[in-house]
Amino acid sequence: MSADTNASPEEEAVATTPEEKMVLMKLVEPLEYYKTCFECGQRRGDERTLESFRPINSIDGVITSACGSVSLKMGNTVLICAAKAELAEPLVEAPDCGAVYIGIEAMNPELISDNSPIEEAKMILQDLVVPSVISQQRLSICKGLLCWVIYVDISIFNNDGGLVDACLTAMIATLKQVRLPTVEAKNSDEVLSLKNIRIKSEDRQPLQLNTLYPIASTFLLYKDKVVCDPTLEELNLFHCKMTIVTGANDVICGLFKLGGRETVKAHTLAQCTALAIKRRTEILNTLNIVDTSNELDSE
Amino acid sequence: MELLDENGFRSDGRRALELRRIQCEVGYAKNCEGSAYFQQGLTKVIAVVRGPKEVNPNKSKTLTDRATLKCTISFVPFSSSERQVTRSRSDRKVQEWSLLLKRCFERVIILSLYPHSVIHICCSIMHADGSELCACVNATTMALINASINIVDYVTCCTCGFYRGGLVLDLNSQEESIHSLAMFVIALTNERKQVALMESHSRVHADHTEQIFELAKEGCLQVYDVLASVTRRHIYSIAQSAFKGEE
Repeated sequence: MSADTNASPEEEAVATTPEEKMVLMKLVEPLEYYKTCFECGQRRGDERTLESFRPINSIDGVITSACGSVSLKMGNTVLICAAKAELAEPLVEAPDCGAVYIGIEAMNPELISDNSPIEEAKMILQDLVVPSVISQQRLSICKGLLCWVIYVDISIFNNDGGLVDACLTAMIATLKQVRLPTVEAKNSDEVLSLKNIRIKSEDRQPLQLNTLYPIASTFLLYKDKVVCDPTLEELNLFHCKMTIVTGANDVICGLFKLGGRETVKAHTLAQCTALAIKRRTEILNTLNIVDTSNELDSE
Repeated sequence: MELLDENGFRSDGRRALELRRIQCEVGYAKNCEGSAYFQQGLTKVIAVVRGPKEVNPNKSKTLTDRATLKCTISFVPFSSSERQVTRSRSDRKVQEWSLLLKRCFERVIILSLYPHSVIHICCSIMHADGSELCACVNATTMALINASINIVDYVTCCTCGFYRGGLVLDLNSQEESIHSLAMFVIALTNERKQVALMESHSRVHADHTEQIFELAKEGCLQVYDVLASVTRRHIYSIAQSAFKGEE
């Protein structure tokens, strides 16, 4: 009996490989597991370094009834973005401006148990898209009488972190596809209004976006480490994240750090900004969007 | 507009008894037990099945002898040509369809195997081009098989139309809007040909209902051939990857 009790711990020790130890540690103590991974500078879950982002796959034109649509997949974050344009009268306080409305909702609310990332993305993007992505003056057709209203709807199929990044990228790719028909007066004697329009669907013009093309990047801050593009599990364990939105010519369009435990130092902010600028270049190459500001500067 | 032209073709080039092209995929989502993507023509539906799991918020509503079934059908805002503002819970069309789907699958799922639990079925209609309820039923069938929930049989659904003495199959949204066309949504089980769901808001003479049911059997059999082949291919790929480790 003593020989048997001596043999069994050795067998257990031999059977456990280091990879299985890491898997067990991730399941039993995820906080300690991620702390160890961050200090080593590597993530074992999806084999990414701390400074690498998840790749983005996008499919254009998935919804044919919309003016523009994009199905975007970033890791396990999957969403569908579609834009529709309608004619309306402009607001009284802004007679020469159109409008852009953004709706973000979960496709299956039972699947996504936590609703706060969606509310956060809705709050960030509504204030960000109108001045940075598209100007409202370009949506006006006739001052005080007629303007375009663009509704951008995002249905989130799965959320695995980086929701603001995926939504903003999908929104830019969708608005690049929008082609608006030409609107003119049916009766040339009267002024152009909602009752006196003729829409020429065969003559469509692309929507003129700003050349800023802002792209969001989310970082997780842990002591002095910067973790790029965290997943939802990492975000739920370490409640300190920061989103930087960068545009053309290395300008910062938005900087969002909504609470959290850690504070941000100056060199950490500079490091995050440099990583966000590098990521913006990669995403624009993926979406085949030419950064025209650089070309203008080079000319 | 006219349904058929003088040569017997419809506006999208189909004959009267021809289905639109069906593309389907199982295992679409990763964080749930069963999911399926079903596309028939331009109608696209994603069905997600969660459960059987514990009833968390209202334990007093737990049934002691069988599982509770919850069905949700939702339209995404860009699903049709007109933008729909986020439909609230009081949308009657969605409520009616959710109840129809719930009653259809309460007879198909063997609920007595899962007492004290709840099964969630969520259908999202991403593109609506006619026959949306049929696509929801077909997608839910594939999602339940993917989730390994015990069901008695495949349930397949198709739309039949009766127009001026002629029968048509699988209507799209333009054909559904024809005023004098009688439209039937009929879901049948595959083996026993029992009616699991039937919906109609039309006027048709009683003499024609038998041939409408015969047409529904024909259409459901065509849908079953597509669903069964995709499901068997998925199971075969799982078995192939499982047995690869032994070789």
